[in-house]
Amino acid sequence: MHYFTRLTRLLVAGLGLTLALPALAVGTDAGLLITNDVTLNYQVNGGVQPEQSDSVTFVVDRKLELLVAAADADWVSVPINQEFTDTPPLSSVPALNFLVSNLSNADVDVVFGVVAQGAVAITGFTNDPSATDTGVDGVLVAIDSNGNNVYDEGVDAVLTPTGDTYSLPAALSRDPASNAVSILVVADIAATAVNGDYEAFSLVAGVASAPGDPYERDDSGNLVPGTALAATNNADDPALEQAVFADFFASVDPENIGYDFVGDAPTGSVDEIYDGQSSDTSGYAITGVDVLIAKYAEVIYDPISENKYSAAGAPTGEEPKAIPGAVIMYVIGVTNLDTAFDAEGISIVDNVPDGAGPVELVDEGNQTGATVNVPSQVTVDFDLTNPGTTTEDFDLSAVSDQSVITSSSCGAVPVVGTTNFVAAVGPDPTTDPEVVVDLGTCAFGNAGFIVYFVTVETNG
Amino acid sequence: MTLSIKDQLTRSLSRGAGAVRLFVLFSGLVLSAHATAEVTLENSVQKVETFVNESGETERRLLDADSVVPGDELRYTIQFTNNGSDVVDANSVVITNPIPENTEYLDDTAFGSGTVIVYSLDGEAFAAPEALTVMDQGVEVSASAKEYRAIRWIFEPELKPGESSHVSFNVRLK
Repeated sequence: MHYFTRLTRLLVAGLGLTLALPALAVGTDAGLLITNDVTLNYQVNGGVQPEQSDSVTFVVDRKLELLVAAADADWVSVPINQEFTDTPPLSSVPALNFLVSNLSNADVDVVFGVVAQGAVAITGFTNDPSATDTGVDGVLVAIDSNGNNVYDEGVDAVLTPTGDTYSLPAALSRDPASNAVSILVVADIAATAVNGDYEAFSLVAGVASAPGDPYERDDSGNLVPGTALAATNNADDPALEQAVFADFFASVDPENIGYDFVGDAPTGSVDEIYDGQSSDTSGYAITGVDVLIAKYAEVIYDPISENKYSAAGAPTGEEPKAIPGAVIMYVIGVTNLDTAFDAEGISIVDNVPDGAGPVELVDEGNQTGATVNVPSQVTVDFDLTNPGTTTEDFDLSAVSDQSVITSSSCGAVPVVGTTNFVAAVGPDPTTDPEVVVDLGTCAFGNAGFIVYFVTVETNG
Repeated sequence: MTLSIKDQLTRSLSRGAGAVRLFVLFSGLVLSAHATAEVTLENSVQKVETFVNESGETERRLLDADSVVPGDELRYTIQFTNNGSDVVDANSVVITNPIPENTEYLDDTAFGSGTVIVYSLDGEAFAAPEALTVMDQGVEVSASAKEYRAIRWIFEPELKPGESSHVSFNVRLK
């Protein structure tokens, strides 16, 4: 059900996408020997003397530098109650985009920290100083394997954290052709979030000597945040490839922070130079309203037993069965759970397998003209994951089984005793199997529905 | 064949020493029988660091090349000393230094008191900078310092017994 819900939300929520190019890495490879050879020739009293020579050699050390850059130009629009934990497979889920580049002169492993910062302003974004944060129920971090800037379950590679620290599964290349990786941060937005809320996330990348094993210090007197080790400025060993943190440019944006990969927690302070880290920040903005949609079905007539729908409640043993010729009633309900904003332009589209399928949309639901009973009221459950928590009652007393499609505009809930039924607006059922109904605006706190009938095919 | 870094270092130095020994063998025939001069040289490298002092001014200083990474500026200093008892002829001390691989010479950094400094684009022919040209899209233009492949210093004074001097130049590690 969440899947349908998500589709509906996407109709009312925008999605901004941007692309970024990886930064170019430059530099002589770490480990390379650099030798300087010099020769000297001279004469004494006109006589040529033996040539003298000397060499000095050193090893190019590991210049360790990462660059994290948010690829989003502004807040990423996300619908209210975005979820990702309970409804696989997820497709095209809005995500924050970060490009992580290796500017080192060696391949380097990378660890990540993701820090939710609430409604903090992000430099360069369109900020609302009075905004409140959305709250977050969970975070998912993945490699954007297909490079489409959104999360696709089963396609994008999810990174499994150790504690709260994520790691790339393999070292990031120094080759300029492949030295960048796109990281997605997907948030499970708290159910209490409302339109206009914000949630900023900082992605902090740190250099590591192996997957999941962050550096704590280099050989040039620099330390990472949180380490208990003492700084060491080791003398150069010409035969040893030593490590040097080279992140010369600390972030000038206060929302970009450091991460203590030793203690596995954010530092709470800004990103510093020469700490083996880089960070940047992007964020979500709630720009949709929480509109849910759900479908309800009821067999109301069985031509063999001639049983008819009687009433809701415990089975009587005389319920009609969904056999060929049976009449089935579908109710599609829509509810706007937002507390402040209307949902506009709501359009319900439902495919009916007309003709070739098991049911067909008929010009009259009760094709045989038999006397049937249309339920006077149905209760539609909008959250099958948590049954009974989000339901709406819809009054069908004005619905005729001789109608093709009946729609009810959104009204105050509980939708009982509705009188604003309008004429059927569906397409010709003999040529177009889709039921398409434009419900228009659904004010916050309101709900609406449509009803239509099908018969189970008798010809197979 | 697999060599460790230390192995490679050892072999590199051994080859250099071998070349010197061979040269001595073949040039022994032209040695002056009375020459007792012995000029030695020492080649060293330091890193040039730019920093801001307490007054907020930018300064440069030389450090041991403890950690060298791409982009670092390095200074090579070659010191030479007459450890013999005879005077070395004026204009006879010639120091030749190819620019190390993976580095680029930094313009106007070659130094040597009492020396004439010339440069080469191929390691064979040496000349003053204004005489070094390259073709750029069919037009002959002055070569840039980055294109120099070797430097040569010609020490003009005599080098008396016990005297020493030095030359130097700066490069940047690519």
